[in-house]
Amino acid sequence: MINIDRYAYASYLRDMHPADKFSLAVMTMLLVLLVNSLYISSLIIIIMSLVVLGGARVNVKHYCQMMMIPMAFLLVSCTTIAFNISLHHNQYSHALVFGHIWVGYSYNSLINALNLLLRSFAAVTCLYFLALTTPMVQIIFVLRKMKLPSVVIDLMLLTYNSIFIFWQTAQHIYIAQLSRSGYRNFTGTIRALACLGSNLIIKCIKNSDQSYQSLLSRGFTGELTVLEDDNTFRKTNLYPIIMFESSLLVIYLMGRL
Amino acid sequence: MSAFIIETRGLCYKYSDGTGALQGIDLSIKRNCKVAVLGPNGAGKSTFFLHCNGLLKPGSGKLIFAGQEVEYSKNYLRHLRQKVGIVFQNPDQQLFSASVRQDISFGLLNAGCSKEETILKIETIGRQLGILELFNKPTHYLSVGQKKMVALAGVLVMEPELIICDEPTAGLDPVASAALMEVLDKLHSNGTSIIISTHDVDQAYGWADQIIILDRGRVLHQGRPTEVFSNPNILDQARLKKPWILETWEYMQSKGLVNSELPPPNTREQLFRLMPTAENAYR
Repeated sequence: MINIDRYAYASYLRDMHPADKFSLAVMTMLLVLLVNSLYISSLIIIIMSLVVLGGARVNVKHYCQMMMIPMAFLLVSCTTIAFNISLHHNQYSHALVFGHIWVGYSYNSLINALNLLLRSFAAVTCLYFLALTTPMVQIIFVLRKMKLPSVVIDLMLLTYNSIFIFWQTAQHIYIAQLSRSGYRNFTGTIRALACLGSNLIIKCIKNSDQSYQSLLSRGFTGELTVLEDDNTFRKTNLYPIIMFESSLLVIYLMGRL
Repeated sequence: MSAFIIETRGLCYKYSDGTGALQGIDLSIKRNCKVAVLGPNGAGKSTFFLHCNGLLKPGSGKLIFAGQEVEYSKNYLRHLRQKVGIVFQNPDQQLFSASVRQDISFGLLNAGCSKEETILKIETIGRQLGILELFNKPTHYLSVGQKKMVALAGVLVMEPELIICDEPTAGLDPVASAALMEVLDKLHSNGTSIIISTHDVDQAYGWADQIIILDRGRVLHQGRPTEVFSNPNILDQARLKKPWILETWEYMQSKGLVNSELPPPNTREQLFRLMPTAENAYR
């Protein structure tokens, strides 16, 4: 399993101030979503990917594999936008007809679909930049500073921690089942997976009970108050980010003229 | 100040599924004592521990902490949980935070410590337990031994009067196990009372001042290690085996190799010192 979390902790950009990484990712994402341009979107895809692969030193093969997941969703959605089904035939550039139903695409719909694909993909690369260079503890720091309700942050923290614990438990159960030929055929696999899932849920509930008890033993009052790391905020780091965004905007505007 | 840190009178507790976990526990545990609680699985050790800091409320009977009867009001429980710290068996259930430093700070910030004081106390405990280099790591990347140390740190940093460890050395390699017991010894020398539960009779014999044996929700025996483990009836009833130091000592006594007037040794060093040497091997 490609561990995004491990990349975040091992990243060369880990010690960059989290607010900088956050603002870079979010501002670029907003820019690419508001500016409806094929060129800007492609440019951002290239730049962000280069930063992640070169700056954060992520393995190229892993990066491509990670991109496959959102790409799959995007391709499906964009296909449905590119191709239309209708009873009228005047909107299509090329179409096939089945009885009274027309299935086809038009120049406009293709451009729209491509635009959407590139825009969404660019936004995804910004998010991956954030995920692969910023450990969870830094993300939580930024969210706290942004005054996100602590209930949401606490939930995020607990979910994040639990993922690793339950992933390990699931692995152990899977290996035990495999050793007893649990995945030999299709029915066996389905049955084994069902057992794994239900068992895992029970373990989760039991674990949460015991976690709650140990939190109470340490004086839990309802909020997971922990020590915030000292990340000194330096305003000067914002300038290169703003310059980057402005230059992108300028390129876009120049392209329109 | 009461001489006893924990006393119970007829403590009874029944789980919601009907299991009678505790059926009348009467105990008096002195301050600054090293107590090992033994007993077969299901004896009620963990249930008893959960009563000690108010997580469970007994069905009948009462619990007395430091001479004061435990009430189950929010304020009192908050005060009690700062004085009594429990380190549970599974460290995964106690660590929740994204970094070790933050996890340890949880108890202190809940107790109302200021940020500067918290930072200072965390650094001190990190140095004492030798986990300073782990402070920036996320908790899920640690080994079992490291996780146990971090869980212990999170409780110790609150400076409780009584520390209860549920099977502290379970799953640890000998080096990590010895390191953890050393930490507990140091705490004891600073005045903290310590209660551990263990299945390792050798460890209990060598380490504890007092042994408590629980079986099926009742106290089978409470006493000094040598008196408890020398009694074959108690050992039979509790399904325990004799510690090897005591076994060796009794064997040597039966063969006339050592002076039977001497009290039995507690540690292997004492045993080796009392063993017959080449000079006095043959009487």
